[in-house]
Amino acid sequence: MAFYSHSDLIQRTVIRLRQVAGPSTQLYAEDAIGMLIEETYELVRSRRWWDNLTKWETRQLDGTTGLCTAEFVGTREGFRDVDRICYGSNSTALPLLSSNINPYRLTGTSPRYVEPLHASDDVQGWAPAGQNLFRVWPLTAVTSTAYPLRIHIRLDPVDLFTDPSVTVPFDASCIINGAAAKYAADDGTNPATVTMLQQAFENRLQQLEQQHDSAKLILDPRMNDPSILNEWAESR
Amino acid sequence: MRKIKLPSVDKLQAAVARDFRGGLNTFDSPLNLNSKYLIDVRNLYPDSNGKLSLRYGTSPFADVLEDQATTAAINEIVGMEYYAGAIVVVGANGNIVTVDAAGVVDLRWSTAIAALLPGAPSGWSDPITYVSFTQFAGQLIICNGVDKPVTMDELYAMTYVQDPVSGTNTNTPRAKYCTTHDGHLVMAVTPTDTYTVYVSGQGVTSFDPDTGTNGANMDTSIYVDRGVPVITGLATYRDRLVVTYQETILAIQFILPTSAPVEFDVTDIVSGYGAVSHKAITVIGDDMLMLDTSGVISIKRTALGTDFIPEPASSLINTDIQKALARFSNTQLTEYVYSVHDRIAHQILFFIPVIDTVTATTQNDVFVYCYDKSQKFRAWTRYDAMPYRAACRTTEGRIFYGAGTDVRYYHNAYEPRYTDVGTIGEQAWDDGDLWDDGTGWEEGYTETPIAFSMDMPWADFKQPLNNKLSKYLSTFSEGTGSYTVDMYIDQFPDPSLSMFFVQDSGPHGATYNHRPPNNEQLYAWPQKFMRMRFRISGSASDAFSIIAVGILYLTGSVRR
Repeated sequence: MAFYSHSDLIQRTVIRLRQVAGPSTQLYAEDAIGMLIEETYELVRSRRWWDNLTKWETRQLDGTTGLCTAEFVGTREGFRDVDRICYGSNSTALPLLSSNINPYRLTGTSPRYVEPLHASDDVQGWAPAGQNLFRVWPLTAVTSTAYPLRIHIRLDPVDLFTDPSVTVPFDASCIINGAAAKYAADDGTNPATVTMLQQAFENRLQQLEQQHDSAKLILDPRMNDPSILNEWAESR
Repeated sequence: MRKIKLPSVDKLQAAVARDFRGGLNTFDSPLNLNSKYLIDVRNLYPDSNGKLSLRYGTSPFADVLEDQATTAAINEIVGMEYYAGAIVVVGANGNIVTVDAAGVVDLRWSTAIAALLPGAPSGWSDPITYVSFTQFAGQLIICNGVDKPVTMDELYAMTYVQDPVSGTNTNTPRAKYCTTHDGHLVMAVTPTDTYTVYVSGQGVTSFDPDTGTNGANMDTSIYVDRGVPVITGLATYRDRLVVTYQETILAIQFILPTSAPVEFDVTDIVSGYGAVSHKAITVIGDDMLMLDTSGVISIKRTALGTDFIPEPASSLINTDIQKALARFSNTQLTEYVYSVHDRIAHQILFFIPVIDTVTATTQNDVFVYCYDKSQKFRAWTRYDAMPYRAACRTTEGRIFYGAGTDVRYYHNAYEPRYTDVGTIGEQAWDDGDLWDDGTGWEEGYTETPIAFSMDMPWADFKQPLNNKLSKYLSTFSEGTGSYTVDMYIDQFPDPSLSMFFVQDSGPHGATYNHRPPNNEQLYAWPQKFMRMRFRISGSASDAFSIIAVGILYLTGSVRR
């Protein structure tokens, strides 16, 4: 099923639950269903680095605090939304700072380690205003236009769930059945109906995961020329 | 595949109220009432089939100030009665008009008309505050308690009630109340005598015992053991004349010797019960209802005898009636409080003004007794927005109200209307087309939808200590109307949930955002509570009934 806006998802879930449909008709169910849709979206969002939710962002370091000069907008799970951070044209990701390294002895201007920010040092939760997420050691590390930080990160569309007209970027039938199962489980509905909704949700999610996992991937990043096929390239 | 296991207690239960035959009940505690009762209600009446229906509306019938050919006849309606195909209306200025079936008003009595009679009498006083009617020997008798009574024949010619032999009205009492019993014209309460019953000869309007008829007078005060000896009403019930005081009811049988004064046999004295107003006594077959200071009482006969059995008919709403009556003096009660029997709807409406400074526009508390003897059904309800000072019923059962100078028609099942139509001359969209034709702002009638409400008693679903969680709301109604369902919980003063519905005439009325009731699908209604009650309020301009309201809920533990 296609992607739908939050308000459309609410209405379709209302219908799925055999409630009377119509904008603002369900005074006391629409908010609850809207939150269950968001909860279901968070659940499925974290299951994979979904293609349609991840992108490469480019940032510059400020050279003094290890922070990027521009924040990340649309994160939902903080640093857990970051897949990998590369420096310049390197394919190898910068490693996380280990606690057995004293970072303050690190010097120089080349980025070497990434440290997720402490909870009190960054905006927490879903932050439309943006988050810094991490800092790079040594703190004096610098980047340039030719050699920026490149961050593979999972981001939501702007104003997702705060503007009901914004499209929720995930399969609608999966989210509708997931939200409906949660709602139905709470209101004494026929157990068979709850089970059916839950199974519909899980089956669809499993199907999407299988689709995602069967995509053609290059297995050896050193062989990055797709015109040269060798035993390190995955094929069906 | 993982399955969600539901505990057995999570089973939706349904609680539906679909029988409102109990009507209004403000006597019992709202915490312990059956759902068939209502703790408050406005402009809805219960049927023997259990539903609640919107009362009928009213529309203008005649303006008794505006239409007559002579000078302004009626300045303010004091009383009205149906007679010989017309409505006879008495004004505070002592004038009397008739309103025919077409709404045409004709002046029948005034000082000028009285002056044309032999002896050139001066007519009735101005102002008068009270009038009563009875039909006697084919004529309509009209009393006002101040002046000599007058009579109207079937051609609407009027004169004074007079002795047919002597041609004078010297002995005719200036009575306030009149009735007809056993072929006699009976009157009571004059400016100087509050306890004598004046009885004419049988079939004649002679009150002179010496004229050879069997007329006679009777001092009834000797039978009164409590209260002020002032007669409050007269009525005829089967073969008994009923004379009421505030706390005594007398049953009197006439014994008729030939050419001798009638003899009175007081066959029953009911002490402790009475009537507050002659105009609030209604006889329905073998039942007589009257408004007492403690509520409405019913008088019946014993099964094997002629004794009266008084019993409260309004015990479920007595407190409300007592509160409504408490603001008036005895004199005000006789003038302001009245009833009318709607035979088509099987209802008796008792009108009590809401304040003691009564004007033409003062609203009433209307207590309505709904009955259907064949269904063994009787219940009370309450109407409002009916600011009328007088009422009468035609022989066809139509009800007319009067207030100020307006005579209004109260609609019924055969000529239904469900709005209170304003007076002509007010501006309204009345050309039959919508405004999009660019015209329509014409003189016409305004129509006010009838507002209604019902408050159900508290419900704990027979598990008063258990927590309950409502999940879904269901309402059933028919006709056309819009209403709001409020749910109150645990005696909090404000509703915890509230939802607006529009009942259209279609099967579901499913138009944008109309939230139609009668839907096979669900309306979410989430609220935790121990006790709850519903209030439904709204308005309608067409036929409308509430059939049922209910919720689907889960029962929880005793811990919150």
